[in-house]
Amino acid sequence: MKRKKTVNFPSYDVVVIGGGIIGTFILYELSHLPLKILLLEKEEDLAFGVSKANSGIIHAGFHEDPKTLKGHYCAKGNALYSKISKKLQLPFKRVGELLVIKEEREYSALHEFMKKGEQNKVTGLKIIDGIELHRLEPHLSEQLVGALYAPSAGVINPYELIYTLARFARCNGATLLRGEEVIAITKDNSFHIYTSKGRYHSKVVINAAGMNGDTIAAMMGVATPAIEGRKGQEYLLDKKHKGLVKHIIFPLPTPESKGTLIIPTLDGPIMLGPTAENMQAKDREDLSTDQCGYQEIMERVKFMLPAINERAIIAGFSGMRPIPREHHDFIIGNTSVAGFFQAIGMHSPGLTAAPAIAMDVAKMVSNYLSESKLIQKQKRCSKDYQQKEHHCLCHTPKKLREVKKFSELQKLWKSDPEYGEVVCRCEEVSLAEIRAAIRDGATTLDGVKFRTRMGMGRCQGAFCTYRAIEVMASELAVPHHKISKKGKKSTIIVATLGKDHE
Amino acid sequence: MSKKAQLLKRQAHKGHVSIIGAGPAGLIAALHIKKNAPSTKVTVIDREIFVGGILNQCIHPGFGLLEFGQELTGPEYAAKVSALCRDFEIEFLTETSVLSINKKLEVVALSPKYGAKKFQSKAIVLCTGCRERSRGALHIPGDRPSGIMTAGLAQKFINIDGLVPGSRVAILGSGDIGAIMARRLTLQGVEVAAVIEIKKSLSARPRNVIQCIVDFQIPIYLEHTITKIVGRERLEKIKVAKILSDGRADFSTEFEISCDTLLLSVGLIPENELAEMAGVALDAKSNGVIVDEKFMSSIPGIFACGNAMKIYDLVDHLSEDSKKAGESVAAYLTAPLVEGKQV
Ligand SMILES: Cc1cc2nc3c(=O)[nH]c(=O)nc-3n(C[C@H](O)[C@H](O)[C@H](O)COP(=O)(O)OP(=O)(O)OC[C@H]3O[C@@H](n4cnc5c(N)ncnc54)[C@H](O)[C@@H]3O)c2cc1C
Ligand SMILES: Cc1cc2nc3c(=O)[nH]c(=O)nc-3n(C[C@H](O)[C@H](O)[C@H](O)COP(=O)(O)OP(=O)(O)OC[C@H]3O[C@@H](n4cnc5c(N)ncnc54)[C@H](O)[C@@H]3O)c2cc1C
Repeated sequence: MKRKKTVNFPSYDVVVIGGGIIGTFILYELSHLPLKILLLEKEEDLAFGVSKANSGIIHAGFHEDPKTLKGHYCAKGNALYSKISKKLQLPFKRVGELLVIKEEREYSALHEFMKKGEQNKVTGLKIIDGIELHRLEPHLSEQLVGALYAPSAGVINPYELIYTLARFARCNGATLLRGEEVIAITKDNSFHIYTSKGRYHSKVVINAAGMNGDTIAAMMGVATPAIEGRKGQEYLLDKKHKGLVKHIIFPLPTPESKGTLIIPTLDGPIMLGPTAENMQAKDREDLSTDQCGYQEIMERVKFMLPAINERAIIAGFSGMRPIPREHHDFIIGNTSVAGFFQAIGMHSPGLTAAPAIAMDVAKMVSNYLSESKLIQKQKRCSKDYQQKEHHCLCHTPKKLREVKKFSELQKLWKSDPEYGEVVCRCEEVSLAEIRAAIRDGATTLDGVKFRTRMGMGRCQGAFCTYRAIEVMASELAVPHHKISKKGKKSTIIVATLGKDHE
Repeated sequence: MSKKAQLLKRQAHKGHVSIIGAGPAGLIAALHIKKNAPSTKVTVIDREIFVGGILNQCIHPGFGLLEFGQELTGPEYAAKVSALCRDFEIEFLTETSVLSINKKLEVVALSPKYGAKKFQSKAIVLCTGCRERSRGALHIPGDRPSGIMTAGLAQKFINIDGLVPGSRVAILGSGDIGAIMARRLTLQGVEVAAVIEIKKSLSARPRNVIQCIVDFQIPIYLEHTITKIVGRERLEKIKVAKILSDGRADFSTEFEISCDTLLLSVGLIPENELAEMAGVALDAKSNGVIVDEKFMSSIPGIFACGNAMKIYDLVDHLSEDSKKAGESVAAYLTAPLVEGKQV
């Protein structure tokens, strides 16, 4: 007998759409308030959108026009990274940026950037000559004659940041649902959010949907510039070549982008790129790489760093910057619909700006909720979440590759014998770390890779994929052919001998 | 021999040899060290559960004709060699990864079974095998879908676990592993749509070209390359074009092959991360350990053989050389000490 059920849709104070760096950071900030909060992400995992393919630079902030939101939030975000990385115990290195020039007459441009930077409150800026530049970076081309030095610029691992923020938000009581695409939103007394899997109520909705920011805005009838894509190809060098540069090397920027950079990434390998290719709206999901982009990057990089060896390239990929058409700035704040907030159009330096944006958006939302009497203004007892966050920190998995001393190795193994099985040999990732990643929510190979670096090294997964699939299938209790690279149809195995796949 | 020399010889005998890698190279080196320097303690370390190295996934015949005068499969060949090892007292540490080695001949290893271990060795033999060149190293342009893997990984999936990695496959490169996989997959009912090779001729050994590709009428595209990979989730198709004399693609000849899988068989690279860590000199082009006629590397006491030294296309040849390597290691260990140094 069928029974008719009256369905009670789950109800929240705030729903955040989008699990990139912006949405996750906002969720983390909100998780310190006494609110019931939910994040919806359409992909199989967080950090699978714009935030998965970027340069990982925490920019100093001298590039941006002081009158823009980018200028305002970049330097502010940069400053916040010291505190946030300490709190989350996330590795973050202020390696410094060098904006290099090849002709004496370009010094005037450096002075202009220095002025911009000072207006943006960037600290420690200094113009240096060729001698000083080559003392700092001996491998750079002799043809470079000077640079603007910005010591506050840094590098971070963007995925690690996102997954850590998500873990903290979760331990503070936030709910995160993945594989749920928002397909419609309506509003009466409250918002009704319809996803590919369900329906939710909320008092506030925050649009942090990256490339789809305009689509979500349109669901609410909020006028927003169309989001266009600007593709950036990047290429990674074998970690053997780390140390070739110590600072992030910038050429003078173009109107499109900050130019082709040489980036000593946090985890060691040097990255080259990105390109800046304007895409049509329909192509904003096109993350292919091509020979043109590759050649352009190599040419530009070789000019600055002749010692670069093309044979050392182990991988190439593309990212897409969400650019609001004819707007050229971030779109942040409330909208014509009360309770509907946005943080979209986050092209570079969105990663840098994220902590500052998240703080402001959380403040706006909490003020809105109390001012419109949707919720009583009260501070969540900070002891409560501090304790939870402390617990969360204690459970952050250790990394085998960071253990250098023999005695510590033995201790690590005693804490969990699965640290003794090296699954990814190129990046020294142990079984314990892979299991921890799966328990942290990774359901795909990319999810494990972004959490652990498994498969990111020189063999690009040729050795570890086999074991990884085996471990994932057993840990997730699914057959091997259900394991995918990044969800949907991206499976690896199509048939099993002697067995029928349903 | 004088008493003193005998004494010195015996001391030298007590040395401990660490062999890293239990593929055919490591097993055969171990065997011949033990044969020629019986009192040496020999430890063979491998990260896998089973010894035999890559041979365990090579279930096709073609091994052992030279060495044993008999046509064997990879696992049979490995079993035969490891059976020979059983006559000697050789210590096997399986499920054990070597994390580092250094100039002082210290070896640090880690295992889920007993944790970290450190050995002070008198000699180290690097038998770490090779890895396959990946997509990134070739920078094939296009999307990054699933369904692209090295031929060796596909071989492991299907031969060890019966997991079939695709339903319509293209193979880039015509190395032996690619050729063998073309046959393996065809026999399994998987359609092999193309073998694409940039050079003028296929690079697999003639026997494999005929028995694995030609006999199965698999379409061969010589002097062609992949110009683009297409597919956002799983691979959907590849674009292929003829190459011009300068090596660039001639886009006017571009055509598409629909396939859900692309196997790469574009070369093997000696796996020498450990050697590099210790400062062992490697060949800049091949990445193989540079050795002298005694199979010794640039660091005294560190030897190398098998694919870690140079890529062999036939195990039998590799075994022959690994035997010589084992004998030289034994000679090195048993050589009398002169002023505290081995000669
Ligand atoms: C090549 C490149 C290099 C860069 N380098 C830097 C740098 O060095 N430093 C820096 O500061 N910035 C950099 N940036 C910019 C930075 O990466 C972005 O600003 C930032 O990642 C944007 O984050 P986001 O959260 O807005 O977008 P996303 O990460 O895309 O997050 C949005 C999420 O919303 C999800 N979503 C979309 N639609 C829906 C829906 N309907 N329902 C549910 N979920 C939905 C998406 O799947 C996605 O996960 C770079 C960008 C690129 C492309
Ligand atoms: C996928 C593939 C298929 C092949 N098929 C054929 C074929 O059909 N016919 C043929 O004649 N040749 C084939 N070859 C060539 C084959 O590699 C050699 O013939 C031979 O097996 C190599 O022997 P080896 O001992 O040098 O290396 P391997 O057999 O590769 O053994 C190396 C061993 O070292 C171990 N090891 C490496 N580093 C460490 C470490 N740090 N710690 C612990 N253990 C470590 C590995 O786990 C492995 O077991 C193939 C090669 C590959 C890669």
